[in-house]
Amino acid sequence: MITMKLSDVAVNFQKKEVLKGVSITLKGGQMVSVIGPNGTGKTTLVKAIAKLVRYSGEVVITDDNGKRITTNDIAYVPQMTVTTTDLTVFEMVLLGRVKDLSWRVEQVHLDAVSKILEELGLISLSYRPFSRLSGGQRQLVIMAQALVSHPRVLLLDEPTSALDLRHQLQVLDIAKKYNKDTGAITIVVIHDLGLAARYSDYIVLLDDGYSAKEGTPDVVLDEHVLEKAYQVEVDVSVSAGGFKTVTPIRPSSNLGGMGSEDLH
Amino acid sequence: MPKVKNTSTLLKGREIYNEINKKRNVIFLLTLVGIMVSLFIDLLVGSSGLTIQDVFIALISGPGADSIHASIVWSVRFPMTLICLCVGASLGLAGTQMQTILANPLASPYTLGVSSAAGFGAAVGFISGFPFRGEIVWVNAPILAFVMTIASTMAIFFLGKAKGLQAQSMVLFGIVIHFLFQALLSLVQFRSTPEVASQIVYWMFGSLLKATWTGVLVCGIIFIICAILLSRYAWKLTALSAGEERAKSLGINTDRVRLHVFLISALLTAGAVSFVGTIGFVGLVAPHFARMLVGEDQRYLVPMASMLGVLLMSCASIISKSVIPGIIVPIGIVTSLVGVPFLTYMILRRTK
Repeated sequence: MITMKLSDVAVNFQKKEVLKGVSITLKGGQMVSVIGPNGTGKTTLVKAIAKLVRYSGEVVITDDNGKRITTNDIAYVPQMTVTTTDLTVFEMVLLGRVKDLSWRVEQVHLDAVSKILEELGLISLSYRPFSRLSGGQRQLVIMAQALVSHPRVLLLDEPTSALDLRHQLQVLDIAKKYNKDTGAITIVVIHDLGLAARYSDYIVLLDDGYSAKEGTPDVVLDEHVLEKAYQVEVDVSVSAGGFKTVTPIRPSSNLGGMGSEDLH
Repeated sequence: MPKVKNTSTLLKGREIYNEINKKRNVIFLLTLVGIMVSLFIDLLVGSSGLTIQDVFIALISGPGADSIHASIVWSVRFPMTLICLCVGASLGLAGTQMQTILANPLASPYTLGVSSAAGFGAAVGFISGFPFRGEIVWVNAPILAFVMTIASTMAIFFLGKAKGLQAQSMVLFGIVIHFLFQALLSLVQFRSTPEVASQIVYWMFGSLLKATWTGVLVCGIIFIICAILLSRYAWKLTALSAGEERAKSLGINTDRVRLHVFLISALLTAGAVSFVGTIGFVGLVAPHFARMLVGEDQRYLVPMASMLGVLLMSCASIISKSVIPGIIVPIGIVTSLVGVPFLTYMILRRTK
């Protein structure tokens, strides 16, 4: 089982501390949600894990034998991909293996692409230009691109924010299935606390650049914990399906209005 | 759009990929035939009134033959046709890479000011007689044009570096460089004698009449070296064309790729414009057409853009030699005039 240990991870952007020191330990096979108000460093945290931003502190990912896992085994899926590329869906997914591709594309890569497209129900879109896909289809293709490299750490940055309900479930189902099938660590930055409750084994609540609370959904999705972090009165209940749902009621009485810190 | 057949997954991967590339291969073949035909016509057309038979005989008799026809074909027409090939391919390739790394469809050697820097270098070469005097004074303009092209690219690069090599900043710095060298060029023209001023203006037109075997060799060798170097970046550049963040998240060091490819593109541009002068639009238009025809996969896009660069240049060359009987219109004028409607069409097409 792989293990990810973050020790005091901090990130500064132009002298502003975005992430002030996060220390958490995550285990393979865990589907982890990172939640928290806007501007608390959720995206920055996953980018630090993917080594896409400079950070201080330490991120150590090791496998069963204690061997370090490199960025080659980490796939990062950014927020909604806006691109005008004319690449076809097939080629776009093939790029997930860009580091291994030579001038003549080897059979093994083509097989991997068609297999993942098949699994995600995208094979019929193979020839379509990526730029002509709907938002939901694009997100699925980007998921396929991430999964085709068989990452041991899958990082999804707000994968559902621009999607309709069906695609939200589809994307997270795919992530969950991959997580359980492969024993990878999957980290999802997500705003929808209901979805976080439904899909996560573990939740990290970030507040003001720190990890304010972490644990199972039962522990983190607590009215007092959420009210303190989001400064909103919430009602946490259990739906008919057995999942926790979080309903915002009103801003907390001690909240004077949205501060500039929140406008990220 | 082809339908995906219901076969086993293993077969399907190769099948789909072959299908995507099938159309590209056909387009490649057609373009290659087009190039061969246009280069051949270009060799046949000229202001000296040689017949097809004359040209054939001169070609067969070789460069050493003691006849006016052989001399015209081997010393004037052949270098002109071959420089068409080298310059067109270089500009098409440089334009493609600049557009890819700067994520801007209007990036090209011309619009980024690299060509005006070359023009300024050539102008200084004409008025200063530096670095050579005597019989080889003619190499001053190409040498200084080459040096200024490299210098201006470095300026764009280092200014861009101050802004974290952001594509948008680099394009804006390119425009700044363009204006700077335009102004300096005007100053040189303003201060020079009418004879030198007309030499500068003629250089700025861009003309294949300046073609020499030396030019063909230098430009050709630079193109071959740069094309080989760039082939190593094919997949990384393809990923970059899908967006900076995508490329970064796929583990590509985009800053490094941008630096290397920018320098190689500068070298290509320098090699191309030094010997024939400023030729606009080829580096801008060829990549767009190539992208329309074969898509974003750089393994196809790059050769296609180079081939279309050659096709555009050779067609423009044929027009420049035949539009006014007995007179060869500078090719830069033709490429710009032909390029304007193409560019307008593409802008209209993009906004739809």
